[in-house]
Amino acid sequence: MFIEVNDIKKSYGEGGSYVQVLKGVSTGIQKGQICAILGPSGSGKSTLLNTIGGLDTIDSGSIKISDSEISKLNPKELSLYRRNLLGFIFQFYNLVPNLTVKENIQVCEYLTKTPLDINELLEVLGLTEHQKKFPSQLSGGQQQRCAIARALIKNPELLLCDEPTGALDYQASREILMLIEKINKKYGTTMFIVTHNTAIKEMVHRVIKIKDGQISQDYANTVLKPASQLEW
Amino acid sequence: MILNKRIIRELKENWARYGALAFLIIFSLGLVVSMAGSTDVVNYTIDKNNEKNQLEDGEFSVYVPLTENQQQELEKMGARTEAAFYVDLSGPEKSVLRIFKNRNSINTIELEEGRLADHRGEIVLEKHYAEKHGIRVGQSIEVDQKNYQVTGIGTVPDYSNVVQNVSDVLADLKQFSIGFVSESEFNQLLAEDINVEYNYSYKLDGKLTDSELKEKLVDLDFDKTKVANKYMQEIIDTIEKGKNDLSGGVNDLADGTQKLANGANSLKQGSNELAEGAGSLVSGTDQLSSGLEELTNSNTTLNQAADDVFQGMLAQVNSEFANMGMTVTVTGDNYSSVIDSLIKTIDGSDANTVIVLNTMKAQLDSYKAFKDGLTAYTNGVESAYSGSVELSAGADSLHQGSEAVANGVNTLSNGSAELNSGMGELKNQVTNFINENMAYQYVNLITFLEAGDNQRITSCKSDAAINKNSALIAGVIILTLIAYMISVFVIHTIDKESAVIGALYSMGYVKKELLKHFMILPMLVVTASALLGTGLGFMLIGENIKENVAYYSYPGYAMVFPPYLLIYGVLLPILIALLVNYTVINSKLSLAPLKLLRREKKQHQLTSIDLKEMGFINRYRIRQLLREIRGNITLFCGLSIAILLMVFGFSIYGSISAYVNNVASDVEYNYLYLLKYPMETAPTDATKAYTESLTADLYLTGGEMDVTVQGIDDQNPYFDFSLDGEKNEVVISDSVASKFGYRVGDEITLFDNLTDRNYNFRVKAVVNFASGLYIFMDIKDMRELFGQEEDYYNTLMSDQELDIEAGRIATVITVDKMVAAARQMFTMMYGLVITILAASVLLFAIVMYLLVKMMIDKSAFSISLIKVFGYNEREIKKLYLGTTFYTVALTTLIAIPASKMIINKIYPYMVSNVSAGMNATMSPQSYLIMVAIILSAYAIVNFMVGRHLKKISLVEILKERE
Repeated sequence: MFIEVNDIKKSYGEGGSYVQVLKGVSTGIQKGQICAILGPSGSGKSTLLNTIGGLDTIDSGSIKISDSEISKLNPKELSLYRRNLLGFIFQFYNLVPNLTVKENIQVCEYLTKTPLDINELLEVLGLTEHQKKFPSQLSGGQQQRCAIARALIKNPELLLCDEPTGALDYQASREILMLIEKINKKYGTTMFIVTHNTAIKEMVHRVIKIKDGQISQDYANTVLKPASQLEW
Repeated sequence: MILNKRIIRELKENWARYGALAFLIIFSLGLVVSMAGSTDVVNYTIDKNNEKNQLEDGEFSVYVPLTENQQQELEKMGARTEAAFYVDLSGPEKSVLRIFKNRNSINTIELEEGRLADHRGEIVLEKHYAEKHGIRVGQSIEVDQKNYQVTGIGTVPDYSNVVQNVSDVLADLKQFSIGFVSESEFNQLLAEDINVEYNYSYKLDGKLTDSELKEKLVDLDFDKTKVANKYMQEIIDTIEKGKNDLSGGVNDLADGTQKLANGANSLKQGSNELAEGAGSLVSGTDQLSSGLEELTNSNTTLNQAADDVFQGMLAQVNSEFANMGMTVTVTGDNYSSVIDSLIKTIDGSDANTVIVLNTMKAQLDSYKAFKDGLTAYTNGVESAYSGSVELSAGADSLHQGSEAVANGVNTLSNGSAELNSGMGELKNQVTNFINENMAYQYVNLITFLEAGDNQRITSCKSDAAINKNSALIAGVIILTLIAYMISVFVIHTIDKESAVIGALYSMGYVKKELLKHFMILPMLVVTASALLGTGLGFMLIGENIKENVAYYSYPGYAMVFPPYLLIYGVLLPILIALLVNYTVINSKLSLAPLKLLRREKKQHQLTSIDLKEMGFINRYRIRQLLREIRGNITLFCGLSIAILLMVFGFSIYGSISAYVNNVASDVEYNYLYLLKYPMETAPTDATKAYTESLTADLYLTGGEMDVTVQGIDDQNPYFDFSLDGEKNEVVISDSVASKFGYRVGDEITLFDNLTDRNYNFRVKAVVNFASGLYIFMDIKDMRELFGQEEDYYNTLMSDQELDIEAGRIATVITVDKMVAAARQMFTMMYGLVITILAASVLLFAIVMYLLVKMMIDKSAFSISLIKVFGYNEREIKKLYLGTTFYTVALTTLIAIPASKMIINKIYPYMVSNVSAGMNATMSPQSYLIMVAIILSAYAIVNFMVGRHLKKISLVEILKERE
């Protein structure tokens, strides 16, 4: 397994405000797979994604990426882990407002010695004509594409997507999903996608449903539906 | 790093903010560097000039000029001296020109124009005087009714502050200055003018200290007959006469004592003889008394026998009568008349009977005479005896008395001998006293002033130094504030971009990279501003130095670029910004990536304060204020600094205004004459006083400052306080109290530099008297303390100008002159006051605008939200800008009194070199004006930010998550 998650528990707060968000979650995916994490709000899906991404700590359990335990890493090592292995995509894009599309991508190009070809990436993501625009000049879908390009430029082994279509309309969402599919095929990037959109489960290799901090369903799709055919 | 590309864009997007901050830095540094740089330029120019023109190490004045031998002797000891004699003459427009001869080796003249006065009828003038009177080289000037051609204009290092007297508060450059003539011209003036001051400048070569030189000068012999000043000669004559009278009196006394001793000796011998004679007399009288006693004892027998003989004779006569047939009987008492009657009866008829009768009568007469004689004798013997007894007793008393007299005379004689001997000693002692102590009257030294204590030399640099120190301290405070403001803006940016930063962290960026990135812009702004500000500061030096150049007298200045100022102007702001920004930004970037992504903010405890049932608007405002507590605290600090500057400006204005007014109101006499040589009889229309100049330790500078001790009596019409009390009690002026920090009940020590003597006083009361630094005491006590005669005075106060010979006067102080000098100070400081006020208003407005705008920007989401809810502009203004009003109002309420307290504490240090107590005073009008300025600035900023508020779009809420 490329990613192995074993019995991880995570809680917040103390006393009256104590909440156990993850109550012993175990799962894992193979390299190059796309995994969708589904579940209602507050179920713990984003927390699971964040712990895998090293943005949040766990109370117990283990998270192994390529057989390396990341839950024991210190903040510096976690930075290095994210720098070398990860790409992130967020619901609200989080682009640097006063950098152009290309520059936003270059922000992450700076972090690696072996970046992908930026022009090719721009081309793949359909941003070539927008590369000199600032985020405020782009639509939501274009901004998210820019965010994806920024995440991919490092050619990460693992791409973590937190509600990548959450702020987008139907058409834009479909385009983003098609893009994710395309990237996975083109670059073989392993992906975790946290989403409320249940339609996505049909296009991914693996589906994990979380409910109340526990995995309620964890299964692999044998037949994948192209993103372009998804309906919701 | 590609991220850094945004820096220029960030700068462009927020040009107003960064521009305003840069302006503040440039403006502040411009002011600070120009002020500090001006000081350095002044110091450099003066130091260079002092070195070039051989500034004295000190100066002294004497009654009789030193002889050449004495000067050579001093030089051998290590003190090179040069005569700097002067006469004060009347110049144009009632001014006084102090004329010196050209100097050779000490305090030489630095000419700015023309040449030295080489010939008779030529003069070189001090540059400010020439300028104020519009005199140029080549023109002529009338000095003491004599025309001089001005051959040069320049300065000398010992009169950089051109004050007539060292203790003068301010120079009046139009009314008093100095001029230099050739030696021959000066000698001519000396011949004409008796009021010459024999002043010398000295330079030490290291072998001799100032105090050793002073001691030497005190001991230096001089020929008092050569005292040229007639008034001094009068004093010497009076003292000499007194001395001679004392000496003659003692001689007379000695002679008299000798005579007394001789007389007492003779008296002693006489009294001894008398005592001996009295002893013999006692013995004789005793014997006499004893003999007379024996005689007295036989008196009765003798008298009885005589009576018996007489009676027998009478019986014989009666018997004869009977025989003669006469029937008469005679007794001792009637025998004479009976016999005479018988004779008459016979009447020649019987001559024989008549003869017998006459014979009988003659016999009876002789017997009666014998009897009476015997009775008289015995009575005499008795009296003699009685007398001898008394004589004996008297002789005894006489003997005893004479012995007492002898003893007394002996004592007297011994005493007079001792007196005579003591008188000899007294005479010797008096002679010694006259020789030793009365010689002090002729110590040639009048004044001795080290260069370091001479405000003519020091005040320019010390004045500049105070400005420099104040400016540098103010600069650090303002720079720290600005650096902090910048960091607040950076934090605002970080907060605004929190999610982006979180995303960057998620991608693998490390804190160091982002810290570096976020620090670049503030550091660039600060660095560029620091460079520009420092450059501007150096450019403004010429402007800043104007007032100093216009007041003090020194040659044209040369620009200097002291390394420390470059460090202060460029490196210090960078360092402060680096430190502040690093600390603040580092702390902000230390948040976990997830928190940044979620825009989680630490909620300050204050934000959850229970506001009870407060009205909605006020509650909202307070919540907003607490939410933006950092911005509001920064605003509070910034506005406080601006208010501090404002209070400082108003305090300078108030302080000088109060000084001008108080001088005019506290000083009730119109003329004060300080006399070098008081007249024997003072003018009747003047009030006498006694003035001494002493020094007191000035804690503000760690040095000393001259104070005037003035002895007045209770009848003095110009002062309404009482001086009754102990002999060492004094009443001090509020000026002295403020300057030296003295209070009622304090024991104070004043020092006489010339005599190296300390005087201790106790402060009895503090009275209003703004002019100079005065300490008042009872004139009688003061005369006694300073060893002056009972009627001594050296000061006259008057309502009218007095007709006093010029040569007797040391200084005339008029209220008009004092007020004029104070007004001149006011004019000098006016520019500074305006600059400070303008700077404070600018700082106030810019800080408020930037911070309020930033806080509005931060609240853009919620403003947008309440716009969506339907709040109108007026209500939104109330909610958001009303918060600022709380901060401004609170700052005004706290900062004004706090600033006043701070200025009250530091102001004395800033005016520590002024010879008057000046407090940081602000009139009620100043407070009102200040509040009006604050409110006006607030209104303007409110209007400008209000416009910005309008621009916040309704869709803001759709663009961002909070």
